[in-house]
Amino acid sequence: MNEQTARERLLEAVLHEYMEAVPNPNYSALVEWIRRYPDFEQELSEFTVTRSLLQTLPAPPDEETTDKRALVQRGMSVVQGILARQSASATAQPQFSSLLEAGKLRGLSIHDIATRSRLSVALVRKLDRRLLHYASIPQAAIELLAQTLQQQISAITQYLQGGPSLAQGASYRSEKAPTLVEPEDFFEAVRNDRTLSDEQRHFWLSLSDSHE
Amino acid sequence: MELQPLTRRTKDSALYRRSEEVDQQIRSALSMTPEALVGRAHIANKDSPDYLKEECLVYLIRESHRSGQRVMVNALAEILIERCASHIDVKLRTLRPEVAEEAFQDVISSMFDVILDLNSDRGDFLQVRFWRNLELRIINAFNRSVGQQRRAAKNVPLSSLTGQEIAPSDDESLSTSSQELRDTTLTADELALCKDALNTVDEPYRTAFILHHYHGWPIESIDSTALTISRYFNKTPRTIRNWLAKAEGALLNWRNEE
Repeated sequence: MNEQTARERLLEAVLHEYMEAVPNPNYSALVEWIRRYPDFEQELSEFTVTRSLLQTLPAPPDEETTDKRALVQRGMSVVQGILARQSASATAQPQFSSLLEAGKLRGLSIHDIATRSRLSVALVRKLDRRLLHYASIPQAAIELLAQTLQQQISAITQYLQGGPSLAQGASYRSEKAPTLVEPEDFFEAVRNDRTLSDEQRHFWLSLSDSHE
Repeated sequence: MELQPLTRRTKDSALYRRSEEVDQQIRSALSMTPEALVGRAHIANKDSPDYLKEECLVYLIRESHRSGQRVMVNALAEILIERCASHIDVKLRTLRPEVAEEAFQDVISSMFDVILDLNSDRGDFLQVRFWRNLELRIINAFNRSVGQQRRAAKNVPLSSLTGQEIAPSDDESLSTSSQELRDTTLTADELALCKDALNTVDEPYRTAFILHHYHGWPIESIDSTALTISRYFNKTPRTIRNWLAKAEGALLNWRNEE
């Protein structure tokens, strides 16, 4: 599966909102959106030009349209191809049961993971045990972890969405089964983490404004 | 019943959400037997209370795939393709037939790649606004076809897609008189008349003509950073006026022949 870069994800989100806000191609609206997103001038322009063509060009005569049954069959053969590729790659897909284990496989200690991902050891532990609320984790953290652990972004995303786990190797004396605490907000954890450097804290908190 | 949450975010970092109607349809569908569910998914009348929206079908295909129900995946995928195949085909019909065929497969592939990828949330928007997302995929496929054709035949923008004659290289050299290079404004009636004949105009003249006359793009601006047809094509305003004159000439020929 192709991974998307942060820019591609943002572009897709911008195009979705552009389509919602501007249902029909419109020059003034395009100019306004380019003013808002100058980095996407080319993409927004190309997109609008194609929309303008598709909207304006005359529909083909009925006799030129393809037989629907043939189209569906063609589409289904594409679907079968995707399913076959997935089956073939499923067995070859590397798996990991925790972020720390994924790091170990790359020869990285927890300190290495923390440093390379601009996090603290404590935050890496919390992420590893999925003690942080997934929806609060910024995309940048997921991407940095994926880069550090040389994993696909989707694999990290999937891991972080799992249920919280108990600390590995911990022993519990109580007769009651240990209970897990409610997941913590990522930015709250950053604010409370005294081991983060000022630079690291500032980096993460600067992302909190755009994160709801 | 707990449904799989969407994890994709908007540009403002808010999580995408399915509509309440789609969530209800999903819950109702999941409580049915496989046979009954496929029967219900086959209902094509949008006004029927049992009609399952496309956003709901996307969710059900993913869930069937997650639980390894290959037969159900195939049945629901086929129904989803049946619903949108003609829509995609008509949109891509302005491409040359063999290019249109590839672009059709490109759209289906891009859509099912993300629907069937359970490790990714790239397809979340298909559960929120299916038809909008499909339009985005059609436009992207159209643009990819254009790009491939351009790379395959350098300096032939757009032309090769349409099955038309390739436009002469350019245009500064065209000996068009200043009279022909005036800016013209066409009336609504004239534009309506021209519309049927647009397929007789070569590219890139046709795109320039459509942008200028149907969508109000200016040819040039005193502000060099402003979006204009000249900036979009990276050509001088004089060249663009030449192109417009060419398009108008082709349309005039068509009218005279009619």
